[in-house]
Amino acid sequence: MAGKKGTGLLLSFVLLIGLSLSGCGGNNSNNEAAPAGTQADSTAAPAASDKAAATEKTNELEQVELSLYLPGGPDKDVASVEQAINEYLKDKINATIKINQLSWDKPADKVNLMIQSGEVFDMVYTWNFMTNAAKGAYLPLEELLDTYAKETKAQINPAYLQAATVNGHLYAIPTEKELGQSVGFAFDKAIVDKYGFDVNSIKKLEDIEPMLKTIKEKEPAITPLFMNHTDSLNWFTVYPDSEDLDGSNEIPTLLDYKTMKVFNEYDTPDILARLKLIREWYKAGYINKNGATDKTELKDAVKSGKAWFTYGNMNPTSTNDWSRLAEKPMVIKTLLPVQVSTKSLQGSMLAISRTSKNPERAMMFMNLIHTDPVLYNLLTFGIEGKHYKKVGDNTVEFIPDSGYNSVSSWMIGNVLLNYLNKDEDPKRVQLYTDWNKNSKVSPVIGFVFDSTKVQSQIGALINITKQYKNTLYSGEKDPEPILKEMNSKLKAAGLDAVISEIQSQMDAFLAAK
Amino acid sequence: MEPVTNNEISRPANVILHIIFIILAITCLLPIVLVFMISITDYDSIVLNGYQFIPEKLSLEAYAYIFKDYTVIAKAYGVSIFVTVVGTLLSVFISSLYAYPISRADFKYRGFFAFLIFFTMLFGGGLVPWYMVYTQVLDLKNSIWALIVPMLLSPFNVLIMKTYFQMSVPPALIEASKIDGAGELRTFFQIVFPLSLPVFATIGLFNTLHYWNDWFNSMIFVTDTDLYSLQYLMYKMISQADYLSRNGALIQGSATELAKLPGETIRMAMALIGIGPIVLAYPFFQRYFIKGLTLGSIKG
Repeated sequence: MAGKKGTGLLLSFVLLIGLSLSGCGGNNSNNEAAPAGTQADSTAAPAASDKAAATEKTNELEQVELSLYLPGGPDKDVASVEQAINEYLKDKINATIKINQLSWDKPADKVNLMIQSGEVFDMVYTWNFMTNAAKGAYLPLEELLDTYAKETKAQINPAYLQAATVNGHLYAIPTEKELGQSVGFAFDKAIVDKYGFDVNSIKKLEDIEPMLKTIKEKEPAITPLFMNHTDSLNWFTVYPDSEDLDGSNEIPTLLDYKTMKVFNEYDTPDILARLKLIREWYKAGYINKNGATDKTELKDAVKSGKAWFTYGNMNPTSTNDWSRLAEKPMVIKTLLPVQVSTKSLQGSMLAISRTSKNPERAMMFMNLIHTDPVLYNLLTFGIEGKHYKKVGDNTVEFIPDSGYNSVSSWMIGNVLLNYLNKDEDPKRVQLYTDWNKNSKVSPVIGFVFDSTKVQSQIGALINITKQYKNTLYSGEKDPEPILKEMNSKLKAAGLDAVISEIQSQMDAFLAAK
Repeated sequence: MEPVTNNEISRPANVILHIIFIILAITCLLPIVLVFMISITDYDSIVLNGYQFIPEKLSLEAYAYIFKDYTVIAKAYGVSIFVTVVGTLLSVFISSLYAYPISRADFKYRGFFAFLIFFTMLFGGGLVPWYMVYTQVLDLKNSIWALIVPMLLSPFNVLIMKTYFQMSVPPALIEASKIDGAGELRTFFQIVFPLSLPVFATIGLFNTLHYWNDWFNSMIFVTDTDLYSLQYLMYKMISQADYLSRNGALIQGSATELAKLPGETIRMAMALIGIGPIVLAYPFFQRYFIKGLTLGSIKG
């Protein structure tokens, strides 16, 4: 049967295309979804609309609903918190709030979809701030801030607002919290005391070597320097007086503060010396064998007694935070001066969407979360008696499994308005103040790199650095040939173009200053 | 020793084949056993000893975390089962209704409609327009239909069905039923459908798996916890445990409680829960596959 043969051929052709399509497409649902639209009308039942019918009220202000998109959650009990907030807000700004928690899996992607499709919403936590601000996803806030949030403007550190300014427009209000970030160690206090280590003597990464040696000799059960695939010693740059400028934080583009020149830190003798040292440590048996691939979290390694210190970003309350996580007393040693860079300030901010129907009211709400402790604690901690108990004037204890716990204060508003958590350091406000006072502000604060022109190169470069970084920092192999190979690949993928693009933007920024 | 009849294979060959299949069966089963064992191991002992078939210390902490709020799991199970059953039935029905006409040589516009479906297979609109259609045109955000509608019609399935109809339903039979007075619907349901059970079962199984495993639509369209499908709930729980444990020190307040979660054991426990009833679907569909195989073996 000739016809049958023909259809067989067609089928295999179709199969082939289908396979190659599903192979290429990152997501099958996309390929298959499009035609479904043609059939959708017949089967789609009236959708459960979540838009509350706005009950018209002739108050001074017409009542409106504001939507707020935050990371985390979603919490089960968010509705009752919304209700409590709405009751409180009624007299203040006559608005109701709808809290949309986007959970931790790719919240940025979801918001990007909302932005690109022009969905109507009000306030959003700023993922990919730069890209979205440059695209015009957010509303410029200068006038709104001046008119509706005078109190916030008066109290917020100007450096924050500078960091949220792109092309002369303020596009978000940063969370008021610790100003800068620092990296450092959190040591298991019991071990430090046992061997009388002087952690304050540590000035740079190299200084921990004698401690590693002691642990290696005296504590056979402990890995002297424990690494995993996400946390490697690249936390401790060999260039303290510098700043990583590209938007990704994943590719080697450091700015030297002294010369204001951008350079590839992997192409310097200093990094080679550092990596050789790590290689020596590895050979001496200080580092776990599978550091480049191990998936154990540092806190778990410390908790189980496999490791005796962790390392990474530190903040004013790290001693307490790490002690709670590792479930044993920890001592902190921050290594670099606390540095305030544009990026550290941009960490968490709240913006108003271009599509917002009520930007004025949204700004009033933002003003309140920066200045009104009642509202702020409602939003971040929930309802008293239901989600937390008061144990002191200003101290609270969380009720476990209360169904509302993932709106954290670091996300939005003013952290210092918060009640103190029972486990928190009672001196928190003081700690934050001291921390901020001792912070060193970057000389190029307010500079944000616009990566649109070199986006494709950056993508390729990130892949290359990811491929090599863990191996390099784990000490498993001789760093010299790997560095060479990595640098030649980086060059081929266009690192120089990225660096010169950053440099020219930086020069323009400095000239305008 | 008994005489070897024609249908039997020799004893040594039989033994070897048995051994091979026993090994195959073990390699299929062992990973599941290991996953189960990890899920009931104490997390600290995993950190210290790695994965073990016989755990040093047992702990049901992972299950306690997942079932802490069993109503959420139960709801997600409900959503997944509803979406899978309704989605599969609807999508098989709709696919066959598209495939059958374009398989008939006497359908005037078959070329146009065949091209239409083929074209959408090659070119999609992209994620953003797709999202816009469902959220702004159909307003399906936060609705259970957002989990069903986007996957109702897959061009690939339609083409498989069309080919099957063309190959296994002789046009003469359709003509005969027409002569006997059957209308188009009667022909489809009483002649074509019983003859094509294997392809219905195949596409049914495809869709069942597809609907059961889907988390993407939940992720994109749903922010209401009541509408989470099981797979998305699992996915979300894992990414949350991951995120919080990695960034635990940055997170203040009550969320640090979550950051202490034993990520690895939870992941394994979820894998076991996620397999769920879908394993039961295989035996149910299997007899149609066998039928399909024998059907194909007859030379035309």
